[in-house]
Amino acid sequence: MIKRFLLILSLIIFASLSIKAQQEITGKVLDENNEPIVGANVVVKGTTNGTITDLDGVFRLSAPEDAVLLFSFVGYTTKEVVIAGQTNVELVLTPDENALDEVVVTALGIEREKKALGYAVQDVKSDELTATGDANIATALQGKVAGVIINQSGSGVGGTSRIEIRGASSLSDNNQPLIVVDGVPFNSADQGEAGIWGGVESSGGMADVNPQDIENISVLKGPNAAALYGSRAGNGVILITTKKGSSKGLNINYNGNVTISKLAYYLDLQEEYGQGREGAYDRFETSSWGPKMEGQMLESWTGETIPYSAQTNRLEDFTRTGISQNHNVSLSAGGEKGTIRVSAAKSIENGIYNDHKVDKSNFDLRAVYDVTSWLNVDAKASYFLTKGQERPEMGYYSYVSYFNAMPMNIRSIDLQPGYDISPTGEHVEKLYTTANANYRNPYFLEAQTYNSDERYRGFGYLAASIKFTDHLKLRLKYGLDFFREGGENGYYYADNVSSSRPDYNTRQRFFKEENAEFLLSYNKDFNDLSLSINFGGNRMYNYEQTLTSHSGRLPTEGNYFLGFGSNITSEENFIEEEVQSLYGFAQVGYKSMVYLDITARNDWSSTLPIDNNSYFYPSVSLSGIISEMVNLPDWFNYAKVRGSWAQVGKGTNPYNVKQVFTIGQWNFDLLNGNVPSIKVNEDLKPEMSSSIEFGTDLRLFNNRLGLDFTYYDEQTNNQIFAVPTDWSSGYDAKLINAGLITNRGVEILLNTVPVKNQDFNLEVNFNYTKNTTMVEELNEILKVYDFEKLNNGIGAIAIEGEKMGDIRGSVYLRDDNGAIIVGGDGLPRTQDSLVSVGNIQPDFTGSIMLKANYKGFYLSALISMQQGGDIYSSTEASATASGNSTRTTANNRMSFFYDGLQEDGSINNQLISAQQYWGRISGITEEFIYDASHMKLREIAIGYTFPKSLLAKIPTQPFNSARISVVGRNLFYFYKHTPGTIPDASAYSNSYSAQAFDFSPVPSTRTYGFSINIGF
Amino acid sequence: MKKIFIYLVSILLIWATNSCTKDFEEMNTRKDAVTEVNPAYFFSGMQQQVFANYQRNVNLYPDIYSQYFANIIGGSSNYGYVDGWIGNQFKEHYTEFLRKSYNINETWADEPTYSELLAINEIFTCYWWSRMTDTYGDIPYFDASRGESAAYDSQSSIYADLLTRLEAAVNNITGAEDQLSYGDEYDLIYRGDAQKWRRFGNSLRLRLAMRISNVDPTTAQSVAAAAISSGVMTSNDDVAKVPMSANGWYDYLHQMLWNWDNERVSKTFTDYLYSESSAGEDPRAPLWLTYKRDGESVSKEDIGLTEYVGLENGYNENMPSDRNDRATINLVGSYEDFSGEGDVQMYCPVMFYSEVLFLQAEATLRGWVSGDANALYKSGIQASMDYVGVDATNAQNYIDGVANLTGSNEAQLKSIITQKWIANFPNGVEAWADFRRTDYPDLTLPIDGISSNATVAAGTYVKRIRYPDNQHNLNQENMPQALNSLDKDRMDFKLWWDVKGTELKGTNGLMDSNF
Repeated sequence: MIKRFLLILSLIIFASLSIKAQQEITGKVLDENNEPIVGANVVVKGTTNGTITDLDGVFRLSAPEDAVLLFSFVGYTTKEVVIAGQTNVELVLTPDENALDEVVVTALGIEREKKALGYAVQDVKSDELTATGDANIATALQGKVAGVIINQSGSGVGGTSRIEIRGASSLSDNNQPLIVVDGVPFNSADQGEAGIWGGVESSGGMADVNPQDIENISVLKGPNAAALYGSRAGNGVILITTKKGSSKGLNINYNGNVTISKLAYYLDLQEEYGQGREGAYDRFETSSWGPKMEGQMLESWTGETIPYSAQTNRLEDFTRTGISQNHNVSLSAGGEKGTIRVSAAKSIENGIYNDHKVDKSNFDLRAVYDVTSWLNVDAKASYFLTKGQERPEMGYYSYVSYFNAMPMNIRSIDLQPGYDISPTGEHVEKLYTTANANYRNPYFLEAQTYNSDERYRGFGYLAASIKFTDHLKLRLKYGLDFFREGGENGYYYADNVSSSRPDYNTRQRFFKEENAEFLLSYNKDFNDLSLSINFGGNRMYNYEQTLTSHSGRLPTEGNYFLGFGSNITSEENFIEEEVQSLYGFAQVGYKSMVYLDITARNDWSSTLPIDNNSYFYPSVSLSGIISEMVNLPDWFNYAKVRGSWAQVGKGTNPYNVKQVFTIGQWNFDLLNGNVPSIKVNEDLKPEMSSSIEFGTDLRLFNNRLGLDFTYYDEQTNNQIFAVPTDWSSGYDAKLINAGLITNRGVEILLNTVPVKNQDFNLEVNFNYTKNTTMVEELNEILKVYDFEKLNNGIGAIAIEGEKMGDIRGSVYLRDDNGAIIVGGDGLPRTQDSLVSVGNIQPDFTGSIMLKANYKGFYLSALISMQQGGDIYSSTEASATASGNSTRTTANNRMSFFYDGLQEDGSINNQLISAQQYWGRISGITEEFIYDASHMKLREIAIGYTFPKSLLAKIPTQPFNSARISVVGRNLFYFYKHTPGTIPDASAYSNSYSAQAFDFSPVPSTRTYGFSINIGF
Repeated sequence: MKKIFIYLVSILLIWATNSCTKDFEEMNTRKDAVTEVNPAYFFSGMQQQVFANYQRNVNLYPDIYSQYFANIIGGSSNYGYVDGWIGNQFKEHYTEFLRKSYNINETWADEPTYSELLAINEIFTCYWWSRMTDTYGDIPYFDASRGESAAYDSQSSIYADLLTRLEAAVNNITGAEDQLSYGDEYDLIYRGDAQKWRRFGNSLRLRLAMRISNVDPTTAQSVAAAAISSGVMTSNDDVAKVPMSANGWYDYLHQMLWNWDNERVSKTFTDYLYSESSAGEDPRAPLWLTYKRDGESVSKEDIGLTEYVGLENGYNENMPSDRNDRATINLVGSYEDFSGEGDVQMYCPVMFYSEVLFLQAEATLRGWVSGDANALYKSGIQASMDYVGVDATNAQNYIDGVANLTGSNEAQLKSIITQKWIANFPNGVEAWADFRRTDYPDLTLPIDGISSNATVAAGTYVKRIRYPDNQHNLNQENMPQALNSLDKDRMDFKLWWDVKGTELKGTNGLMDSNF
């Protein structure tokens, strides 16, 4: 059949060739910079006779004298040239700013014309991601997509980020979007083990992806866009498309960058008062309530008599300059039948704490080949090796927390190296007081703690696409993502805080996910109608196994392995889950004017009770191209309106439907039975979210102005989450299906090109996101849901009927007129119960992306901002208790009468000291709530692209292209309100509630560097 | 090509029809869990659990309220309440301990050879129930931990039921040959000795009977008499205490007083060690106590002092600067409950033999049983001396210097309870209960006053713990009406068996409410 088809085809071609008189035409195709375009298509109009331009942009073609030649190239406007006897044609193609045929990757990896979509999809191109050499795409995406809020946790290099698309919708804080690489789900689970009381954070899957391998990232923002990814796509999907080989012959490319990061943003501390109590010096005190520091000679805690003066550089002394480098070499080759691309990358990131380092290696292979005219094979294999070491302790007890609480006169030099060596050779913490969890020597802690981890990961797929007819295709795909992760951590030395140190802990984790799928597609155009009908299925299976072992207290320092331990314990954990799905979707297009999409999917999840494990969800969307329907003025280039409705169902975590007991070894080597404290639910139903979305795309003034507007309304109900239960029932919590969370918002993208001419091009793009997450319903008995909180109850909560994310804390006790009530001790009192003192949700967020090109020079800058939202500075609260925060120097620390009323209404007559006052204030949450609004220069890159003409002058012409740039990240804040700390990257983890606190376990840095890119 | 097409479609159909969901149930069952547990695995955990999270559940409240210990860093000494601290005990009792206890009963209910094991579980479960109700008063009892919110039951009905259950349990320990044992591994308290459990069960009946002496003396008398005749503890070998593993994690007194350095021994307690005998210092003092200097344990003689002096209770703002130098417990002496041995770090007391002798002394004083109250009183002191490891001569000297019981019943009771309080050190749970019942010995109000956040009237003593937030949030409708709001749920509210406030003590130092 194929042979016959080819025979007919060649006969037709032969026939067409033989009819007209032929002549040979040569020519050259150039781009807007007069550089040759390689691989441009040149076709004789109305025929299949054509060629492509070579490396010099030159083509050679036989064509009839009266032929019309069509010149086309991706991203450029197609041009027609009437030959009219010419034999030499040189022409310049202009970039296609209309980009009306812009193709975006949508669910299941299907490329679609953007204009045909009834929902918002925003994509980010490779060069925007890699502009400043960020090795982590999660942070590189920050501020670049409307509706997507990415917050780094304060965990330094290799740390975690919180990604929220169109707001949080989950009470169990399962908000992270699904990451899909070339159509295959890519495990993104961060190894965020840190909680409010400690642990380390290490970035998971997303940071494994090498930014240089990425062609583009397309963000599907809501259930509408993601309906076809099913269960896991309820929080949106980040679709990463990696680079393929080029069909234009051989390309070798090198990219590299080196950046340095320096301590930049941390809590402001006072520099006037030092160690002591109530104004009197005491060399063993733990706080700065002593006398003024004026360089007077005093006996210090070490016994030495030294000048008593402010130590302002302790954090600088403690940290280093973190140097990071990324290198990437890629080779791509290909021809008509197929392409191949291989790349190798190495990234070494050093944090600002000593020995904190993340080292990534990555190899990637992608091959696409047309085996026959009806069979195409596409395969990818990637290997990732990520090693981390000395990741810093997060949470309440970080290095920084000890510096913030330390009397201001304590010298770094006296704390270093953190320990004394005892006569028996043991490391003993040295400190100005007895060390306990609240007072530690950070140098000792740094020396005492250790951790390292390694993740070996393989990812890839094999896909075959079979073309039965021109209209009917079948795609089969098997994708695999697996990794083995190992790590160890513990304490090298004994300390006063826990009797189980020194110790050694080790863990092993194995993860795999398999996705097998098929998709049968029928596509056909009937005159004005285009039709596409698809039917597919997927089987997702994932399995995870974790083994953790602890040595218990080791008898001495020096040997760190399990066998040396006194109380070896182990835990293992398994997770197994399968989801089977069948789905269908259809698109109908009319005259490139109106497009209708319908999808339907049914999932069967192993995590739900057998009777409830099947769930169905549909979606429908419509898009109309107004500019195709009516005649708009010339300056109105394009107008589209769109709308859609969708549902997505969701299973739960494994093992939520059957009550069991666990058994483990406990003290005295005895087996111990445990009764799990969560009551499972044998009647769980799938979670459902549904959304409606409307939007419009407009292009005006020769495409110099573009506006993309979206309004959405998403509802998530029937959520499966654990609610606290009355303890008298025998359980601490129970799983229920309940709740209704809504996210309503607006996303606006405004693209402007204020200047555009031969030499100078300026593009300024604005992103605006406004999202409000409301807790419409919880359940009958639960009206307030607590996320993680501090011991004193401060933390983020969800209150029924209100905006999610209130920060709950203590406030002053006031009388009816608002006057503050003081107690018998003359100190302001607080209300007995905690109340809402703020909310973490911003009013809106936005960014401004600026791109300028002048001849070979270019500048890109990203400014991001947030308006509204609150943050609780727990760092400042504890620094206030210890007399270190700047506010504690008010009024020269004189004793005073607090301006308040006694309970009986009389004026307060009790004198209080500054120490008493600030000690009380430190416990009043509302005093430390700050507006998290800020605007900052997130990224900037200034570079130069060498013209080809210049590179051509180098002997032997080794370089095909070359670009150098200087880059910077987080250089400065235009404004912010927090006391020295930053409001946007200080959380102790990427959990929801962590966003309420400015712990900044690793202070935020400024990063500078340079980057080069060379094509061979 | 058509062939291929048909072939592929067939494969797809096979795939689609084959991939059914029948293995989902197995897949969704945890591999590392079980649906049934050998009750012994629950029982040893339950024994340790009553002292787990000791700092939060016990030390910060009863141990301080009984004035055995005092904070050196501010905390609960001023009668404040922190939900995450003792509220935790409520949670552990209902969500863990009780479910394990039920499980043992359910698993072995129909096994005739397990009736002694069930009786032992019953005795121990009643022990923790009594601690719970003595902490809060009315609590969910009869329907508790059955999966749904439970009603609150009155303390009187709980006491009645506990006494009935304990009687049945001790009678079920018959010594029959066919009875199985928890074994010396999993029974950490009596190493499988059912007869010791029986004597502990009767001693517990005596303790609970005495607890209701002022509110229901008739029941108290009959239960006390029955318990004594059924057989209570007979020697220090019968002491009920839970070992803490030297290799495991515990927060017990060694952490609070040494590693974490949060507390010292109370001055109220140390004062009594020098005031109760004409012989002078209580010879138990150097075995129980020591000083901490530069992290090391030193005796009073080592640093030229003549007494062990603790810290006053209830400092908040005016904490003395020498607070760290006050007396602490002696972890390296010869008192085994503190110093431990082998793989045992320390022992937590459930009930001392001396307590049982003091209980009998009081029962005799009350005329419930016949006997010599004074002799029992002195033998209670002797038993404690022996238990702590005081040598015979020193013990005799001290006891000889202790006045014989004399005067009014109240005066005699005050002497008994004072010596009982000393002997019960460091069993703060029991000492605080005795103080609330009898208002003896003479304790002190918090030196810096009562915390502004506390729900205890100025000049009065704390009488109970308020219900945890969990209950106020989720089970308030079931609470007793007198306590069913955060305002009403006060910590100076007297429990059913606590008939009078200590502040009403007469100028002669005696109450009028104990007889």
